[in-house]
Amino acid sequence: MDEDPDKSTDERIGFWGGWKGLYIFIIVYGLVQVILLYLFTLRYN
Amino acid sequence: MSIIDWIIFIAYLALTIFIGLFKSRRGKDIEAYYLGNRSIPWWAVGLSVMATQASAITFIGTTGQAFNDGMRFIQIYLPLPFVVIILCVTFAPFFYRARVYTAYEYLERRFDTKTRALTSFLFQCSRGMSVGIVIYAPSVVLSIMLGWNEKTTILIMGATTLLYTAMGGVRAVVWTDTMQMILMFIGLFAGLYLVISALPGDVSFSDAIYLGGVTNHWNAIDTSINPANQYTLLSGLVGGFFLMLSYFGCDQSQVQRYITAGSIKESRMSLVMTAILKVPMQFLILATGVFLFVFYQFERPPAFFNPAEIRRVEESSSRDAFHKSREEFDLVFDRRKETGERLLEARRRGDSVETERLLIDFNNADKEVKATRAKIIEVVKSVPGSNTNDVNYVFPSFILKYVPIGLVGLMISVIFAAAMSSIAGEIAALSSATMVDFYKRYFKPQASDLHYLRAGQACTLFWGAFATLIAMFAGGWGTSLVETVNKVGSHFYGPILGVFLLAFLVKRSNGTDAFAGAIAGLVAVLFTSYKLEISWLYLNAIGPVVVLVVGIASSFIIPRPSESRKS
Repeated sequence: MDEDPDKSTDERIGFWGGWKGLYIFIIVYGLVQVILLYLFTLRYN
Repeated sequence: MSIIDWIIFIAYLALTIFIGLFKSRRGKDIEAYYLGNRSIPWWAVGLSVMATQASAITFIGTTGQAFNDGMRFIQIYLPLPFVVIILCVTFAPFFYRARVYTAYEYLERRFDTKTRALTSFLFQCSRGMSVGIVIYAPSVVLSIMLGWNEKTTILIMGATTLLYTAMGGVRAVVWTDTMQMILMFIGLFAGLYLVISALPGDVSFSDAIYLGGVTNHWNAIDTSINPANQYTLLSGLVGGFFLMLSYFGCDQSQVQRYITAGSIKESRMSLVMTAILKVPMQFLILATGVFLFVFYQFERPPAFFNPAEIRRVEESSSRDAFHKSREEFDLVFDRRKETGERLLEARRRGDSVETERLLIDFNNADKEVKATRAKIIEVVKSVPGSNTNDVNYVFPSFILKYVPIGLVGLMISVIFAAAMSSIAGEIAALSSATMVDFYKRYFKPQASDLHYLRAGQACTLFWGAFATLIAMFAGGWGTSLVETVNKVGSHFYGPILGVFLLAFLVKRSNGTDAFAGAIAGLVAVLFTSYKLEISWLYLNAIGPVVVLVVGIASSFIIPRPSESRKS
């Protein structure tokens, strides 16, 4: 019996639709925020 | 305020009480009272997490900070997406699976009772001290906006929040937070729109962006590495990382939210929602402050934004000096305004030589304005017991003078919503820590559900009354004491985070290691704070690092029972 209720969801949806995919998306999102703010500062400040 | 504004404000208060009391109906035990029966949808939990974090001072103070200092403050929030992943992988499932009521309860299962008691006690000390200030600080500003006595504002804000928090517990808090956060989003966009639309007709959006840039207000990223510099990319990424991790991972006011979700998946989703929305939200708040700065390049601002302090100066012996400085301020302001208008004209014509020349003149005029304002602040400072920080009054001052009828009521409701959501979250968290970590653990381990529910409500009433009383007296403490209370409270975050990291990461460690580490971390943070000149953000990193180092060292120095048996 699988204890983690999320695991079956991950397996059903697959890598990019599961948690790992979401975590990668958030990391990229966080990095993009930093880069965009840096470019924003360079461009407008 | 006009009658329409009053109607909007009263409607907001009535809606808050209605939602709070309506959601109080279900549940007659502490699982319902403190965890909402773990059945609250993720989007409501996510909005509640954000609402608890966004206090009224975040809303008005951050705008004022951007007005003075630009966008640099945003760097604190940049590590949040990375922090959320750590929370989703470690903290959230650990707390959720352990089925705990408080974050500190987990530490008893992992370590021992003294570690749980120490961390819960530290949390209650820091939050208990600061929750009164969370009511007091916006009440001062709102009293001026509403024309009320300070104590009346504190009582109305405290009593309204306490009513639904005590009655309905976390369920009432989460659902009122949800409504309040939606209102805050509306207020945020409305605020930005109002400031931009208040710019003079001949100043375009592009002109406003340009003026914000040439005055170094679009400084969202600062790559300098001076440790004394408060807000830089480095201090934001390092200090902000530990600050966010300790706040979202170990502060009961946040943990209590995401353990109310229906499953670990929903708990994680609520955190992901915060990670996605937080930085854009702070960007909008700070951008409003920068546009406000541009607006006040063309519209004469008050020489000092806090009208209560101006009244005090007017009644003091510094009155003449104040008037003299204000006349000087008016003169230099007119000069800067004229230079600014000529600068924008030259820019529109595409005359780069003239633009360059006028830009130097404009920056010099801006320096003169700042120097004259510094003189005015010195005059305000000469009055005993005065508050020279008017950053919280910049946006409210704009709202009262330039915002049309109807929207003033909306904006005041938004500030009230921001304040009430934070107060409710903190009171509910303090109540759960007192009740579960101390009362239920040490004084009455075996009692009926109804008894614990009543005890929980009594704890909520106690903390609400305590916070309101602190807020009532904080006015007489003076600014420095209020700031000290906030500062000392914030020192406990790092050591508490260190204990949790030790619990999750170092399997060897036990309660004694954690306890020793926590005390060492606390001493290290207090020492660094008072002896070294570094940005306060780094303190959030020092605490956990010292706890981990001392905890790991202790785990190797003090023999483990299994090792003793082997030897």
